[in-house]
Amino acid sequence: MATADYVPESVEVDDLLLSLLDNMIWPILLLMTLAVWVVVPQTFTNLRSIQFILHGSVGLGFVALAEAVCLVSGNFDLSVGSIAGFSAMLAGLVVSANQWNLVSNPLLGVAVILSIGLVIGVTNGVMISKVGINPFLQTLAFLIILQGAKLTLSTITVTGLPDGYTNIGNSPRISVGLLFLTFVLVGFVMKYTPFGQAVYAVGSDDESARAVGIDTDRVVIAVYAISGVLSAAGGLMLTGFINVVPPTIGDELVFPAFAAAVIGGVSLYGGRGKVTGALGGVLLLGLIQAALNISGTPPEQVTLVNGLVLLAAILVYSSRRRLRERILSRQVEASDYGR
Amino acid sequence: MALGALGTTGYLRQEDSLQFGLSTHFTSGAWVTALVEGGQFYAQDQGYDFNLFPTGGESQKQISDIRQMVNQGYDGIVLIPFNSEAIASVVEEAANAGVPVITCDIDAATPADLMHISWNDERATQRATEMLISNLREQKPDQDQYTLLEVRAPPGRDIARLRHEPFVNTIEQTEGFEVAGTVVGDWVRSTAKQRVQEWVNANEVPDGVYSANFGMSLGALSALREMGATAPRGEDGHVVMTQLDGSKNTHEAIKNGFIDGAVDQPNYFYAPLAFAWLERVVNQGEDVLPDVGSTVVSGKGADRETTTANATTTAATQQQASITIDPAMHKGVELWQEPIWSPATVGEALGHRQFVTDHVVITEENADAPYLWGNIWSPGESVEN
Repeated sequence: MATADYVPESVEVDDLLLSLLDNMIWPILLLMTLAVWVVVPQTFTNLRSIQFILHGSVGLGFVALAEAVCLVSGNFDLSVGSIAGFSAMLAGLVVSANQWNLVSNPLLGVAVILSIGLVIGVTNGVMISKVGINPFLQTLAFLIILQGAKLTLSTITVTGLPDGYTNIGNSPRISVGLLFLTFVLVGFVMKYTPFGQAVYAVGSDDESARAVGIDTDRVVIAVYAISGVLSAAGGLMLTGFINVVPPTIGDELVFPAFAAAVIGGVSLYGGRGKVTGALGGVLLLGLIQAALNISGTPPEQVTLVNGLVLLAAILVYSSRRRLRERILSRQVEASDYGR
Repeated sequence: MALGALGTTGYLRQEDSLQFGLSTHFTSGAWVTALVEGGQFYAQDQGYDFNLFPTGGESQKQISDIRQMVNQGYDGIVLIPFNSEAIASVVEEAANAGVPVITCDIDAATPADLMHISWNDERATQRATEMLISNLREQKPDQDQYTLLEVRAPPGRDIARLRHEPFVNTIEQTEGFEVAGTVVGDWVRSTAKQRVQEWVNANEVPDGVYSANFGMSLGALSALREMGATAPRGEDGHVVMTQLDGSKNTHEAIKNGFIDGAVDQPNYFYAPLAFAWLERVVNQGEDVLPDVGSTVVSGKGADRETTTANATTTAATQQQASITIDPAMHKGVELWQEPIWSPATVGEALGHRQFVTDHVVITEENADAPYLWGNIWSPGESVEN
């Protein structure tokens, strides 16, 4: 029967299409890169141009990854930028020779900042999973608390940080390398480990995940712990990028982090999207910012363009959802015919 | 008419002290700390019953705070508004209730704002631009064309416009100078550093850089340094840099020859001046305020010649009032020792007095001066960035 012959071929095409839809950010990034190359060629004057875009995106990249992991699990984290800022400030005071000077070993300083992020992340996770507080409200509260706590710690720029501590974020090779490595590592964990699959399951349907034996509370706590550590890593990178800790550090990160994750294809409803797509989102935002900056676009229009890019991404991804549903229902239909 | 040196020395009410509040939308930064702590120290010295109301960047809370102060019968309010228009009606409410309000740094858009105390952003921008031009002509005399990069603040607030337009207009009118590029630094180092790196990499290293505040200037310097495009003044490859506002880091960069000059504010005088005027108003009425068109000098230096560019020149209005902020030990220095705000000129805008202070030009000659706020409020900082 013709229909039976058609099914395997169609499934292959459909699988290819689905795979393309899941990784849509990369062809979009490629196309946008080519467009920028044509319209604003000076954006890619040399290899350093790319290095500047990458290096400038590292801090946001870590925070966007933190947000993406939370989104996949079906949760929000509004506090990612505040965690980055607060942990950078507290750790900065701890390691600064001009301030508390409690730790001079750079590696110990890194351990301090990541531990701060971990503690905050675990607290978020416990409050959400065990106490039952809505993730939006819990992380909103921590957004405000941590911003206030950061300013309570210091309203003056913290300097005198150990070289080894700032070199991590200041060196383009180290910081960009760490960003890519972290994305690969987290992407691998999310795709190939039982924990990653549990995160997707919890994000898709909390009740069903619990019914098949997943300890959803533990998963949520672990997700927020990872989010906290990644956010703190973002704070470390931002500190290194400018070699100091200004009191405004991390203040403007949360919305770009959300935008990057959504542009990268991570679903706001949980359970869908690849966390590695957030890297594509970060790079796309960085590329567009660089092109606008170099092309002499009036600053009044830059924010407008940023908003339009986000809107375009949302439209593309909502089309993707419809397309995915159409492909899946066609596959179900086809398999019914074949039965 | 308010003439004569009344001063505020010795005005201490232990039993029936004046109750003043300071409402500020600012929350962070060394510059802000200097402004706010200047007011706190002065209020403490004068024995006021004082409360600070930080609002964290929103008009709604600031409006509520002012209503609270009025309700509690405060004698006066010093206000740093988040939004000039949004705050106007509550300032009118306070005035109608008999509570005088004086603003600092940012105006309230109402005649009920008794007086606004600040420097003039346009004049300061003009001065920084002139410094850039003169430094370039002096240091690169063989050139007849100069390219400039502007690191500006994001548009949308008056302050961003006032620190941008005079620069652009002046350069347009100056032969041989061209604004080759403009980048937006978001007021902070990190963004400025990234944007300047990208721009310079895509273009050529400019001859000069103007930045609208110290954070962005330090970001620009950091970018140039990492691109190997910095050299101290007097050496080949030196990029001439001027900016608005000083800071400890800026002063060190000026001393080391990497930044050529800055135009700075007497920010730690703003709130004390406002309190001093409020006290006079409470005790003597609004007529004690200086007339529009007059010049106000520090009581300590009342006999010195007025040199400010826009000082009133007609004989009819060449009147001089004075007010004194007495020095006191704070932050390990004799604070307010040098009246860098003086002379101030009194103008009018938005229906109220504008007490426009003098500014300080920072060069390598005075970058160590103890009267610069950046040397008082961040002594531990280093330029290693």
